[in-house]
This record gives sequence, C-alpha cells and structure tokens, in this order.
Amino acid sequence: MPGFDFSNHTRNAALHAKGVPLPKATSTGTTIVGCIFDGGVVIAADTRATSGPIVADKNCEKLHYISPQIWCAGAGTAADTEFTTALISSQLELHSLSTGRKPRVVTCMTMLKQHLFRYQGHIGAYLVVAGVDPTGVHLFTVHAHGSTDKLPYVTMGSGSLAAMAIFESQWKKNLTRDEAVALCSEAIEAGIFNDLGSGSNVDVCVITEEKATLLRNYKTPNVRVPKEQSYRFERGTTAYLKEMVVKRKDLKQYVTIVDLGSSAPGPSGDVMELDVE
Amino acid sequence: MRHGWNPYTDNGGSIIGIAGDDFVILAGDTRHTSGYNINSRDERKVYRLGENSSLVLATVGFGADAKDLAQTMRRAVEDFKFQHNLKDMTVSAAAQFLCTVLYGNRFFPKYAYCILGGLDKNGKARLYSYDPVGSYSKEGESRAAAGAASSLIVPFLDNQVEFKNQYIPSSKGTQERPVEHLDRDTVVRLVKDAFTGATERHIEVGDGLQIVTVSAQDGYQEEIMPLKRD
Repeated sequence: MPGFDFSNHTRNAALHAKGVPLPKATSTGTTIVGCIFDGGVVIAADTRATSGPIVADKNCEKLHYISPQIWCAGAGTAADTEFTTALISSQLELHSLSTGRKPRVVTCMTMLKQHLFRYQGHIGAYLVVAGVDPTGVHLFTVHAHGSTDKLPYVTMGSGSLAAMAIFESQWKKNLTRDEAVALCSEAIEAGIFNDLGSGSNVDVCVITEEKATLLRNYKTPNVRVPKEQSYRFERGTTAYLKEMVVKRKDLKQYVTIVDLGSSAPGPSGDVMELDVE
Repeated sequence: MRHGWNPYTDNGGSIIGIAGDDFVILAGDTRHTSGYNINSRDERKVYRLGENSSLVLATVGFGADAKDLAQTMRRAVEDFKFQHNLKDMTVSAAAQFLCTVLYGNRFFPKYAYCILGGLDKNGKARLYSYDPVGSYSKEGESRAAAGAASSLIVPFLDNQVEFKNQYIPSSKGTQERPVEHLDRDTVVRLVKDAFTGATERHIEVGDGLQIVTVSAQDGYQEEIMPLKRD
C-alpha cells in the first residue's frame, strides 16, 4: 500500500503520554518569495535550516524542481517540503507523459493543495509555486492546510513580513527580468538580516517561456571571517585505547579501492571547513 | 488552553569570561532578541561597576532583569565607597553581595545569568559565575560562559583554556597537558573565535561583540567588534 506508515502511532502516543518528548524536525524557518515580471516569473529563497535556535544547515536548498519549467520554494518542515515536492513532481511527470502535454502550474498547485488538505495540515509544507506553461506565467502560494493564493508577488515563511515590506514599498507593474531578480533578492536579504529564522545566502530561480535558470547562491552576503588562529593539534594530542595499522596491500579485505589517479578530480559536493596552517 | 501573563522573556545572546593571571576578560554579543525578531543590534551586556572600578559584570537572560541587576550592583559599589572612607569594594565582597541580591529574590527570581570579574588587592584576576538564584563558587573560576550559546562555547573553552582532552603528544595519551595561564592576546583571540563560531550556529548570537579587559597594567579597556548580522 502506498502512503504513510501509521503502525507506530499508538506506541508513540503512549510514549508521549509517559513524558517522552516528540522528536524535533528540522524546519526551514525561512524567507521565500516570488514575483511575476514581463515574460516570466522569479522565485527566491534564503539558505538557512534551523532546529530550534540552532543552525542545522548554513547553505541548504529550498528551491525545488517540479518540472522543467515549474519550480517550487518551500518553507516549514524541511522533510515535508522535500518529499511533497518530489511526490508531486513524479506524479506530474507521469501525468504529462500520459496526456502528451507539458505540465501546467495550476495542475501542480491543485495536486499539492489536494494532497496537503487530505493531511489536514499535519504535512507542514508551505510552498510558493511558480512556472510558465502553454497557458502563461503563473505564481501561487500553497499553505499546509490546503489554501492557495494567486498573486503578482508573494512571500512566505518566518521572514515573510520582512520580505513583504520590500515588495509593498518597491513593487510596480511591468517589471523587467533584471528588476524582478533584484527585487526578489532584496526581499530575501530583508528576511536574512531581520528574521532570525532566515540567514546565509540568496538562491534565485528565473523561469521564462524558453527555460528555467537556477541561480544557486546568487548572493553570498554572509561569508564567515577567517579564524583568529589555527586549531590544529599536534599529532598524538588525542588519547587512544588501541592502535592498529593496516598495510595498503591488506586494505582490500576491508574496502573496495578505486584508483582515481592523481589528475582526476576529487569527489564533488560541498567542501568541508578545514583548519589549514 | 490556560493562558496567563508571563513576567519573563528570553532576550537571547551569550556572554563569556576568562581570567588570566593579572587580567580578566569579559565579553558578550550585542544582539537583543525576542522570538525571531531583533530588538537591537547594539545592546551591551557587559557593565563596568563604577567609573574607576576594576569590577565588571556581564549578564544575560531576561534583558530587563539583567539591566536592573547591573544597576543594583553599580549603586552598591558606589555606596560602599562613600560609606567606607573612599575604599573600593573588593571583588570577593562584590561577589558575595551579588549572591545575596540574587538569593534575596529567591521566590521571584531575577532571570539573569551573571559573570562577575575583577582584580583582587594583589592585582590578581578573579572571576565568578552565578545561576539566577545566586549559586556561585567562592574560589572563582578560570573561565565561564552563559546564555543562549553557552552549550556551544563551554566545550571550546574547556579544551582551549583548561586544555581538557589534550594529552602530551609523546606520552601516548597517559599525561594530560598541564594548565597554564594564557597571555592576553591569546585570550582575546579565543574570545573572538568563540563568538564568530557561536554566531555561525546560533540564531540569537550576532551583530556585535563587546570585549572588556581589566588588567593590572592597563586598567579598563573596551573594544567593539562587528559580528555577522544574519
């Protein structure tokens, strides 16, 4: 059977009644915005993920792919925005394949709201849906309980008021692409600096009739300053209980070795912060 | 659902104190928050107790109570001077007085965590830290942290000030690295790194860093350094 597994519900309810606290979900206490311009639509998001007052991820991605020309910005429970958008993206792809037509933004919005309404707000996904389809340029917001809005400029998340202040004071009709990108990123920056739930960088996605362009880390106004000193420890500083040396030729017993060669690029992904002298 | 008025709010932020041999450093960020909002980016948490005093108090928690405590202490230190033939109150006396004030509010506590620093009559550094109802150690301590990001900062200070979990490299983990007094520049560097680090990972810490140094040679010095504002 597809869908959620509720078999632990009774056990967890009993545990909770005995005083075991509920697990804390990572929330993207967020600023997300969207804005229509002449010929397309822009959505933008900050990149901070929090767990209570702790920053869980300094550079997370809140702009989700739905279909080539429909993208979604997500606020609320991180896992819910991630899985809801992935589920609808999959269903929309199948729908588009069976109808032989490009997916429409209203279809996406309707599927999202019906899914979220069915779960009565327990799926904590707050979304800005934007895209261009054969019927035109569209921008919506979808709340966790299933209500939707259709507006020329929208904001959501804990930084929505800070961001909306920018739109309400500076938005005008018939924006150009560059003006819309600038306005959206300024709205996100208002969230980043004035809302504690939002922070780090600005991600932007521009969707036009031709294509969608994801501008990851379009702005990085919060680069960490270098540390005052190095915290490299002298080798042998840490106590250890046991020492075992595995010779390179015996390594195959434990792991599979793939020689990349010296010129091959290393594994990709975000580079970890290292103390280098 | 029952709803009642709550006299306290948590205004976030963090403070730390480190005692050297003949100097003491107290520092705190300058952000004042409620919930997800920033009330001020320049609200200082470290107070000098008197114009020519070596006594310094840092407070975090409920901002109003913290400020009130600082004012109570400042007044007490001044009163003492006039009542005792212009003699300055000693750090140990100020420390015991602060304890008495806090415990005096035992059943309606001042919701503030305090760190008190100063120099004793021999010019040696003294540092005391308190819980909201006045518990403190008369022996003092070498380092203390309180506030929102204290759980992030304390392990760093344990490792870098008291050299916890550090062993002499040649001893194969049998001999602990001996504790020694750090020099002033090193302590200032540690304070800055503690706060830039806390700013990265705690949403209530940021905007500015107030560093106050009291030393036998140079007296009272204060520095404000910018921190990230996101």
